[in-house]
Amino acid sequence: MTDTTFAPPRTEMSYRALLAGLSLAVLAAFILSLAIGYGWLDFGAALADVLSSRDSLSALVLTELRLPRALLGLFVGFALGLAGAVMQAFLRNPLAEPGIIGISGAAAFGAVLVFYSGLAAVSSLLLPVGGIAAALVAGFLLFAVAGRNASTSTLILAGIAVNSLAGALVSLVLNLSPNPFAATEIMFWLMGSFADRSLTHVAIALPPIATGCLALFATARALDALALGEDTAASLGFDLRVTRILLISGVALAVGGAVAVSGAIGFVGLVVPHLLRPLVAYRPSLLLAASALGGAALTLAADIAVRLLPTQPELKLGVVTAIIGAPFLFSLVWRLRGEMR
Amino acid sequence: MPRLLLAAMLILAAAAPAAARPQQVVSINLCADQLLMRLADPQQIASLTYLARDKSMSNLADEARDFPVNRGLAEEVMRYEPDLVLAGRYTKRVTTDLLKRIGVNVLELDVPRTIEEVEAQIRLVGGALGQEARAEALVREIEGKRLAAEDGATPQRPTAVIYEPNGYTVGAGSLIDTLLSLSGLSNLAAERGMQNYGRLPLESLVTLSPDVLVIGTPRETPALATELVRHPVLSHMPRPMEIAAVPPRLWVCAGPEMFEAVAILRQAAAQARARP
Amino acid sequence: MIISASGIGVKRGDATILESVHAVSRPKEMVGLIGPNGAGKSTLIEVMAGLRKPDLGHVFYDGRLAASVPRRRLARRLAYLEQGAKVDWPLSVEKIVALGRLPHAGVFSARNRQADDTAVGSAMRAADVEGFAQRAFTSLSGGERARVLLARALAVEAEILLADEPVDALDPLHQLNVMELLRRTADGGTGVVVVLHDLTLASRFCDRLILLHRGRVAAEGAPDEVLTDRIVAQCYGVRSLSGTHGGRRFIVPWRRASGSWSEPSEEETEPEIANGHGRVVPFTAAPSRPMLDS
Repeated sequence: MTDTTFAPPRTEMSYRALLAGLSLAVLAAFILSLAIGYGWLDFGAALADVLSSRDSLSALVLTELRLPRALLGLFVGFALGLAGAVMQAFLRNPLAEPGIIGISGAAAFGAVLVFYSGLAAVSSLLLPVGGIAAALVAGFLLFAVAGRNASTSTLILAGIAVNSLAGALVSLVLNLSPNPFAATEIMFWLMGSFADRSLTHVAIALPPIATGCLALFATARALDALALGEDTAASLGFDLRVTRILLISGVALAVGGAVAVSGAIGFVGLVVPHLLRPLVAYRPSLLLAASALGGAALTLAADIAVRLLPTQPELKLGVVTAIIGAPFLFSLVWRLRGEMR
Repeated sequence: MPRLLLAAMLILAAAAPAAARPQQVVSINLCADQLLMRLADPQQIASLTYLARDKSMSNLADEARDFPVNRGLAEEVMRYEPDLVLAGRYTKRVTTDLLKRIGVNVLELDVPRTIEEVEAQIRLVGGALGQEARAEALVREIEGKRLAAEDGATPQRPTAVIYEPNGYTVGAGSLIDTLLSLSGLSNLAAERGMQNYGRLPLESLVTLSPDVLVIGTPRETPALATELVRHPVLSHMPRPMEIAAVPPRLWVCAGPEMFEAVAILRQAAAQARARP
Repeated sequence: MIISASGIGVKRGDATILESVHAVSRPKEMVGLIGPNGAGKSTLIEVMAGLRKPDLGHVFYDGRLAASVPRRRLARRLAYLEQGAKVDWPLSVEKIVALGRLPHAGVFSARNRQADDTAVGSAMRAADVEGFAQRAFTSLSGGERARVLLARALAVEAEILLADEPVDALDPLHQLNVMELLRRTADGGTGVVVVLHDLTLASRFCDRLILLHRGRVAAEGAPDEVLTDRIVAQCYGVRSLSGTHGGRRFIVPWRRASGSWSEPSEEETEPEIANGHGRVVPFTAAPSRPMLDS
């Protein structure tokens, strides 16, 4: 980032206000996500039914269909926003994002392998395990190839390589599986969706997402120090090997767990940190919580949008986030074009 | 029973060879495969689609093993130097157009929406193959089964929703809709004004809460498409739905087997009626 | 804290970067680390800062082996100023200086907020960056940036400050600003090790110099002992004008010692350098352009 902007004075108060505002936005999107759907649902009555544990149809729609959908939007968006903020701070590159550098694609491949080989039928817990394992491999691969001080172009090229490979492998596995719906299901894994997911999916995705997010939050201080470069960060007492392991395993757990149940949703981790960075005076550690909440709000909003758009069948979530995110990517590339050489 | 009949038909056909019959017939459509096997002499058949051997999709999977298979590519079709190609109206468009452009005789089959259209199509293909007598016999068989099914009609019609993989449902103006009403069920999707095929979100299905939920038989191979029927919400419905599992091969293509589907649906309808 | 590096050897591939180097830094002492490009100055300071493990030899902090000193504890006692450091985000000056307090933070929050504020405040005052405390780093000039980064290192309030070329790419005024600040820091009790290219600055401000040449210590001692014409000519390959002012030597590299680079031509006509006779025009009487006569 080489803008010559003047960071206005930011106090602890304004940071708290930002987090409070973002939390309110998440809450509003969450409630809207519960209220908006396909049925003719009297939201108030349904809520009353749920609270008085009456077994009505609308209560069922609310708890078994809309609740898992909203919860997944919340957790997956939270994980993606956080992972984007952490990766950008660690790699000191505003283009680093799980989707762009191929971690999400790899996770999708891992989940696809587990799902279509029938392993997921043995235990649904294996589904996130597949996603996490593949995301870990991709993470280490990227660090091996692109290194720590990766230039933007190296990072993007490595991401293109991992992404194309993962996409191809997803298609290969699906086409090899004796499944007549392969063509449409490739879309789910590569573009992502929360449609018709169940509380089971929430239950299997939440533990890895929560663990991963904790690992990512644990890097906050080191990320601040890293703004001054690796040697200075090390001289400030941070063991960067520890930070790197926290980062890779945290991203793998959070993104792998998320992708295993919702497919690869791109651009959330790119757009949100980019938008919020000026609001936290560019401080990497403060960006984490803000970006996680922003990611949740954006993902929930995008999921509301796919339900309101009159398409048959409903759009994949990644379509909406890409439409929002691709122009951001383009503008970032435009701004960084001098550095890309 | 149908297989016995077919064997008998095959023997009959071998005894009476006709003159102007096409001798190299290639099918590039699953439904055309089955019509072809039912109506033509084995030596008339040059090739079928690979789907014809798939037990989950084809009623004549065993019989299809006797014939070479293709994937519906123009190049493969040309190798057989066919004098007639059977194709679907809406599938393999590129192959069909290419074949027609180079002068191959292509018969495009519509997707029949009523039993009358099924019968007309059988006669059409029978005529093209020079097997009019077998076509008439097949039509008579279907007609007989239809009359038998209409006999058992009752005034009380439980509601039903078809739930196909990926959450697609079937509305009015389709053969499956016809078969539903023949089974004494009322198609909720058709009543809601849905035409042909459309997607039904799980949420709408729960809100509709039909008496009978018609699904395909769950496949062993994992697919997101078939995961939907395992969604926990379906087992938690306050008034559980009667689940009727219809193997897709029974009604994916029109043939005598569609009345096996009617029998399954009829049983589900009876159970739904018997419930309080 | 006393840092003592003994018998340090560092290799990079087949190349030997450092070979049996000994270096010591003590409180209140300002040590200049000098030597031509590629002599191993940056590597030595990284080894002393504990950022790089030497292939041979050991670093001791107050007599304790480096490996036995936890990184976090070391970070509170030793500050390191990276060469040509840049900041990746347009952070405000105050926040950057405050990063120097990270080693003093607890697990979840600041351990002693008041001490942090005081340290940041006095570091900013010392480096004279208070005037633009709220500006973004990326909007500052090179001289301002160098002072901010130095303030960041001062905010650690460490017992030892290791600075790698802190006056790199600064104009003379800012060079003097930074050097005076380092001198005051050393006088305040901190041990300072500073990598320098400017021999006059090294001579004027440092208590002791370590001259590295091809990975070895070529000379060590008081500036006057190290910066002799012979040693400078041998190690740097230059002949210098030099003289003394206020008890401190100044060294002005004037021409190459031999014609090895490309054939010398114009020097032929120049008079032989006769060192020690430089005359510095007194500041009060200085005309607009101070001159040296030969």
